[in-house]
Amino acid sequence: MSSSSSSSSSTSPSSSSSEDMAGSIGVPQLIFCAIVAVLFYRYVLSPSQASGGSGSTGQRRPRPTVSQADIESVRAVFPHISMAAIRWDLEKNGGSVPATTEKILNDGFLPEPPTPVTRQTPSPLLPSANGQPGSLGGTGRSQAPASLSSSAAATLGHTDLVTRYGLHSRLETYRAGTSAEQLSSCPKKNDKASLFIRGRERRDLMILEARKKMEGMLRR
Amino acid sequence: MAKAVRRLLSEYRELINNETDGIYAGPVSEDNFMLWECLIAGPPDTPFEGGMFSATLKFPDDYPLSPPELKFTCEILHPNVYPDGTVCISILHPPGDDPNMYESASERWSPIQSVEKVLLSVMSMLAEPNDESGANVDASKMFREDRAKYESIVRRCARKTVGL
Repeated sequence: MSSSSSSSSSTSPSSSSSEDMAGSIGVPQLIFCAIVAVLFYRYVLSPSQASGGSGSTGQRRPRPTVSQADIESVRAVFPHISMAAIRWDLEKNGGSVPATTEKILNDGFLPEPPTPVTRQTPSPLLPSANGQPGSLGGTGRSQAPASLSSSAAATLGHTDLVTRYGLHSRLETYRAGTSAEQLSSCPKKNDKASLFIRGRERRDLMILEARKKMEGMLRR
Repeated sequence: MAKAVRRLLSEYRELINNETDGIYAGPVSEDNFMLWECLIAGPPDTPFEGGMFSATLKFPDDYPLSPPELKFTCEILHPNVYPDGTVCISILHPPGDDPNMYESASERWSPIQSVEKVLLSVMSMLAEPNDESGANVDASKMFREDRAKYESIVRRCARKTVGL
């Protein structure tokens, strides 16, 4: 306010604005200097503390212990996420089950841990993943070990679709051919909830049909 | 964001009402329309036949201006699929950005493309790998030099998708 009124009354706006600047030296610049000093002290004069806080946390801080019960409680809700990924995420957030759950709900997945060391322990506890990397590597090991092992590692948490969507119980009835009528009796409404019901049903039927077809192919 | 959700809802309705053979796509949960799961049937007369390949589609907030990201969530060996499952095909690349310098603008993403077209493109990609863009170098090499082994691994992956 004051600068605009002074520049309008004055004949040379440039000189008046520089006077305003000179007059306002003080509080803002002092605060700025104080911030610079604090930052300088934190990050330049005491680098050991700063690097401990920002840089190599994984190596310096002792790894928090994550209980098997916590991992299993997360996995009970999200069976498609691998134990290794859950363990890794819990280790990163200090063992908070709600934080990990929140992350899976938001992202739909958890990143796999980068090092194979943490992956070793949970694999025997994971029945669906048993043998997956090994059997895939069995044929591909000799020529392309790098790409196959990494892709197998990334997919360690992947289960087949019948297991993922809990369709084992429906396999028998589907083979008998009753599910097709169930779908056609579904009312074809377009509101969001009905769309989801129809979509999920279509997904499940596609999986059951593919499984049936594959069983037929393997029999031949 | 609201625009993206509206568009995705209409695409979802279209997909459910006019079923396209061999593909399914829909939001993972009812309260997040920006993350979809999808299924792509292995094309017939290829080693992928009989498999049902699952993937996630992650939509950006400015969809449909920017393309979604498609990532397989099953084991798959393919020259155009990165080892982490991310698919590399021209329809998923925005027109401005062409790292490989061989895709024509018409093949790339634009708002007139759709989830359905993306999935159909992926299905034809499964049938005919593009040897020029090697997202998975080892798979490309095996595809070129040891086709029998490539096909046997692919068949194994296909069986696994349905738990066999």
